[in-house]
Amino acid sequence: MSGAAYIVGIAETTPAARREDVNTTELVWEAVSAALDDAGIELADVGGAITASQDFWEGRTISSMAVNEVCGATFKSESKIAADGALALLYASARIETGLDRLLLVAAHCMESQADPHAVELAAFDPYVQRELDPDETVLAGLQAQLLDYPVALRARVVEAARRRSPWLDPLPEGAVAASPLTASPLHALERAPLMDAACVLVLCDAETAARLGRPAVRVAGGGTATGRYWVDRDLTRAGELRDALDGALHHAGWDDAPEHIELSATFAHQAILFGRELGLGSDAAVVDALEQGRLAPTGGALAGRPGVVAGLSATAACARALHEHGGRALAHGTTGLLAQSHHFVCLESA
Amino acid sequence: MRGAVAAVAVGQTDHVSRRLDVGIPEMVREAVDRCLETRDLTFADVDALVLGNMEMFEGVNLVEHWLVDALGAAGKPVWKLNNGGTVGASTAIAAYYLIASGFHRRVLCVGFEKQSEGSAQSSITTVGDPIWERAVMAGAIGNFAAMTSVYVNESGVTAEQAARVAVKARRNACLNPHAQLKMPDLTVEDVLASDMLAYPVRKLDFCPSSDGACAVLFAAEDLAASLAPKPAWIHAAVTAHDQQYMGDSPKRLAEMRSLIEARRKGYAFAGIEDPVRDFDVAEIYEPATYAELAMYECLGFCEQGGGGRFIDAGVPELDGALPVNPSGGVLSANPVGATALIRVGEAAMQVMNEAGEHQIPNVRTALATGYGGNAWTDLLILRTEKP
Amino acid sequence: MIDEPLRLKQQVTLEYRFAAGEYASRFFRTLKEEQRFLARRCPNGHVLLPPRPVCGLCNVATADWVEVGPRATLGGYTVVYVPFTDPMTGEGRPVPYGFGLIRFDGCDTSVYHLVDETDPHRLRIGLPVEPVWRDASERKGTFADIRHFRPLYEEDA
Repeated sequence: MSGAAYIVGIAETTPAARREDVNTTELVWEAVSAALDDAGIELADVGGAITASQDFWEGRTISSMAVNEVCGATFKSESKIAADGALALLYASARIETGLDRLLLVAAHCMESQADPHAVELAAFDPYVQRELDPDETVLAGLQAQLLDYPVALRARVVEAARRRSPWLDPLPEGAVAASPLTASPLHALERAPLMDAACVLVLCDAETAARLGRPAVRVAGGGTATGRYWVDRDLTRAGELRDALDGALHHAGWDDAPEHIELSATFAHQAILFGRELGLGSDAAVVDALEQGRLAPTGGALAGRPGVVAGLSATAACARALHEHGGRALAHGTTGLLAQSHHFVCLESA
Repeated sequence: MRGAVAAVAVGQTDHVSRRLDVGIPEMVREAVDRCLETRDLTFADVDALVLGNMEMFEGVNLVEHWLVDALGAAGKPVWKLNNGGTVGASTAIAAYYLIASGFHRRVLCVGFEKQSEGSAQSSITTVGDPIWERAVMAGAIGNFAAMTSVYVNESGVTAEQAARVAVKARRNACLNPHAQLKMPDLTVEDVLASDMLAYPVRKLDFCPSSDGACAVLFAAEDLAASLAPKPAWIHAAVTAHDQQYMGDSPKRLAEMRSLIEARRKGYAFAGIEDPVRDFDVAEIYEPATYAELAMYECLGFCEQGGGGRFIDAGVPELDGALPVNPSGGVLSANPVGATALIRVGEAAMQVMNEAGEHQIPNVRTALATGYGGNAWTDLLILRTEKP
Repeated sequence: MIDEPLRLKQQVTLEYRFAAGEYASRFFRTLKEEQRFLARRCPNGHVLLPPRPVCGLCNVATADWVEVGPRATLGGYTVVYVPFTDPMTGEGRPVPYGFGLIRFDGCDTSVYHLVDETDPHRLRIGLPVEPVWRDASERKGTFADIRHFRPLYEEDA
């Protein structure tokens, strides 16, 4: 029993290192108004909204309050899923499947330039025994990369592929990744997805509404999510929770296998390789080949310029656009938490 | 397309102003253990979790990830919401949709707050819009008291009538082992003599700040009966918001637009026509005495402006026609991330006939509401029968 | 049971650089430099302050800028007796202080601000008030550029 929700509108703002011209409300409105146009509907047609934002990145408790009105939720229902936007999409799909919601906006947003990432990430560490060491996610990523021991040349190719495939960022010159400063050995600065300000909005509706609107539509066939143990308790050389989330998604969608088209979201280059291996794509080198050829992360994933909270929803948008072009099936991926403690998958099928 | 969903188990910590004996993980685990123990269940009986907490209050980001082991959640789907005061009920509503759609089968909702570990004033500041609202704030109490003056002006309720709500709450609390403020001898005079916090709201008119956690297990239609002898079935699960800034709704308390809208939708879903007749008990989210009076009106328990007369007539008392907050309500315990889930949990306990000393006899239908943000509302209706 | 529980004191410091955006930039520049108040109006005539891109009452984009005030009316009000540390400055605000909803003439929504009165029985809903400004040198482009609102008792016959 799955797959009764349809994506009928897609929009995202062009990610930028810093947007001085808009606040969060205006940024999200930019994406919402474009998504409404894409779906051929008005704000008043929206039945409710599911948003994705993290209070620490936003500098605000109940950060969704800033986007309540522009998401059409005044006097209606808005619920914030504090995780990657792909999870917000899964919640919205579940709501539509019940028949109680007919048309929902799903909005993921973050202005990463506004916050201090070190302080935001530090707050996610255990207050009793870890914070005194003043760590952040880059430090953990350095630990993880050290354990995985992929050669820097391979990691650089991951970043270069993402930049080449990015709809927004310029390609990198040869050697730029290895030449960028060391942040936490063995990692170089360019191995991490750059901080970005962006919002992504999808319009989701039931079958009847999709038929009435008559726009190109993509069916949400199913999805899954799984959360692993806290970073210090995990085997950082594996990502078993990715497998758990994927298996759950495939089962929910009734699919025997993962499709070839997978828009993977990895914040760090070495993670893309690790995740590709967990997906069963073969050796480290085989995964990097897949990234370069665009079978994995065809639009570059998080490294292509997507804020962490937005990456999974933007991946879903990219998959949906691809399915409009050539039909078939696609898998969108997002993560939440330090070193991707949670993984989320959305199974998409052309309608 | 849509399966029925029921609450099948509830657990709470004993809410107090300060728990020095546990950290957050242990406090949350207490509520979860108590919940699962009521039915001899283990973590293996939980498919997914939904957490509610105001992370900026305790200064712990991604708190659900830190708590994975404490919650037996490794490998499972874990969802997290932080919607403010409504969050506890929002977790229940999320569980409802996730189960009704078939996405999950058994969902454990956990709401918690260890308010004593944060800075209360900084916390409230983080609620204000950074660009528009933070430059001039007066804490939760200033905002609330200003709203109250409009309600008093519209309705003519008196300080005595409001004080009656406080007396009801803290006396009811004496029958609830989990409540923080148990005051068996509290009188209206005591309330009127307590310090004025912000005119006209006095200390005993206002909710406390608490450390506490609540866990409620929800289950799918085919599992509920095997998990609880008398499951509490969800008949309505509605959320409604308002405009976005603190001053947008001029009569925010007197005419709580989100509550009126949520009530309209929720009552229609559940076939409620005369709430005093159709509900057997109500657990509502009253941040202060005056709010409870206003909510009687906005929920249609009485006519507009009639909140004071409603309590004067004794209707919401334990032995009245519609007991309101037999648990002692928010006025007796307020761990923000848990508070609205406690309302749902207490309503469920009433329907399941497991509310112990504060059980209302013959409960068939119960109402639970959540309040928070800019006067937002969550509203749930639970019954002994399946929808 | 623990005999002597340990407590850990910690400071979490979070710094942000917020982009004010188009509407706030215009509003606060005008407030600071010209001491005027600009609101947004939707096509159905709702006048909204803070100014914003969408009218939530109508679910449509707001259409134009409209000046409101400086005269205003007091809506809900209170006098606060609980000490409050201003989180923006770290200063303690002297108690008691008046606080309430200010609706500028011509505007449909209100904003919270301080009111220069400490006797709640002198205040009432509907009282005319006006802003009392800080000196130009002290104004920064925030609502705190207004020191408080002064009740106009002399006009409130």
